[in-house]
Amino acid sequence: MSRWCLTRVFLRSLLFQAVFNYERMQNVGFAYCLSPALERLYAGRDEALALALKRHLLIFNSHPYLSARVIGAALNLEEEIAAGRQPPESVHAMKQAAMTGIAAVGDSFFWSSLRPFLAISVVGLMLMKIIWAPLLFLALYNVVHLSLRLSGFIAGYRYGIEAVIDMTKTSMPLYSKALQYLSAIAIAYFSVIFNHKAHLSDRDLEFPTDFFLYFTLAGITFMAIRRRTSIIIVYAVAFISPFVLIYILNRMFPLI
Amino acid sequence: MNATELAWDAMGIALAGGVISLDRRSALQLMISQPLVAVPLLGLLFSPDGGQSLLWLAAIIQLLFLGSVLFGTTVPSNETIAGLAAAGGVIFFQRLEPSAQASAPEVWVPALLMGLAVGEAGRAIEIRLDRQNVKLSQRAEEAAARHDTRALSLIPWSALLWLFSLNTLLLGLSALLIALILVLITPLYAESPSLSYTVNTLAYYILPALGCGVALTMLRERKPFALAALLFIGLGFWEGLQR
Repeated sequence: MSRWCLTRVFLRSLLFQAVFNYERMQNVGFAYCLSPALERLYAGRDEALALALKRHLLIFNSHPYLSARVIGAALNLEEEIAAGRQPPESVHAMKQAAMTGIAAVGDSFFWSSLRPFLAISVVGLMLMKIIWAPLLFLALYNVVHLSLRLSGFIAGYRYGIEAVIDMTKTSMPLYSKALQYLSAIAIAYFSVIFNHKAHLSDRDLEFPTDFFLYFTLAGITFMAIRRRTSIIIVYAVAFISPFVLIYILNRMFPLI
Repeated sequence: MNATELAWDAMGIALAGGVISLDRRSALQLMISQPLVAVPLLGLLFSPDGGQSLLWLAAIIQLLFLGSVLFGTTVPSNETIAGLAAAGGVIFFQRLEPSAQASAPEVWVPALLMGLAVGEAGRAIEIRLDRQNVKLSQRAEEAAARHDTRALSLIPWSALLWLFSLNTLLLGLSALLIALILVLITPLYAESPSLSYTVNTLAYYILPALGCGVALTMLRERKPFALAALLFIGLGFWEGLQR
């Protein structure tokens, strides 16, 4: 496969989720990525090309970044299939076997660990009026993201199924765990900064805006939301609690 | 500011927002669409103060949506649309009322709350398009049967165009609407200054605390959670002693 063709496949993988749908998830994205390579592999064999494209339009759902590795491995297998060294079913079987494990590793590392950690840290820097902090977020996140995406694609294409099996032995879950601890430190530190900024502001209501109030509110939210941000909870707390607090405070220190 | 300038700005904000919103799931996913990047970026492009007044808004929206993750078919509220609509509303408001202080809680708190509702509309658009994409998937099947790779290659671009158009329309209209509501409610603050001051100030304290609560939900295990709690109390005491 020529370098130009491989580059086209990789660049197309950046639109992997453009046609995400409820029936077959990322199927169109997968076929879209591979189509320039399949066109070359099955040049002059229209029926074989149609069958190859259809193979990749079957259901697929995994992590968008780490799927680059599966795309590379699928390309490797398609070369074997085109040369008659592997049966056509092998590529779909490989994709089905790989997608769940890769999704679990990728979701846990990127969505639940790396992105929250960097976001919390950068939000803290933004509150310190460091204006270029969002650029730091973009740079750090994408160094990890793009390097894993590209290296995964290359490894997938070079080593085929072996590269996908390797993913099960990855140390990414360990990094996820370490990032959880770092996030805990960042949350604690920046919660104090938030509280400090609230104290420094000219917004004075003559009530104890101490960090105990802060942590209690944060804790209540944690209990209420657990793992999802519900807009109803945000509205309820934002709208109702000021009025409840005003009522209580008015009883204690008549202000209004 | 005249109507023509306002219309150009509305178009610019909507188009920039539409492009940024594509990054959330459909294209690239470089995280430009995260509120902490998208909101200051929109401010840098269109705000009279280069987006400095939007930093606080960006930080709070980012924290509130920290747990918002697109897992498979789960579609949470659209944080990009929420942030961009709120920021767009504040930018328009700055243009309409140049003397108003955009970083005051009286401006960003209502803008943020309205932005959250627009985020729900963004979610509805995404769900609708995910359903519509089933048809595009069937069209891809037909193209594959005809071994027409050219037709297949156009399908993702068609899906992107739909998403861009709907998000652009939503952002343009919602940013204008938020700005108009802000213009309308500003005189009301003067009518009952103490109540509006109290409500907005409490929101100023409560919303960041809510954000910290959401951030805590990202800690999946008990040990990091305990570490965060202990560190918070320790740092809080230390900070209290310094004061």
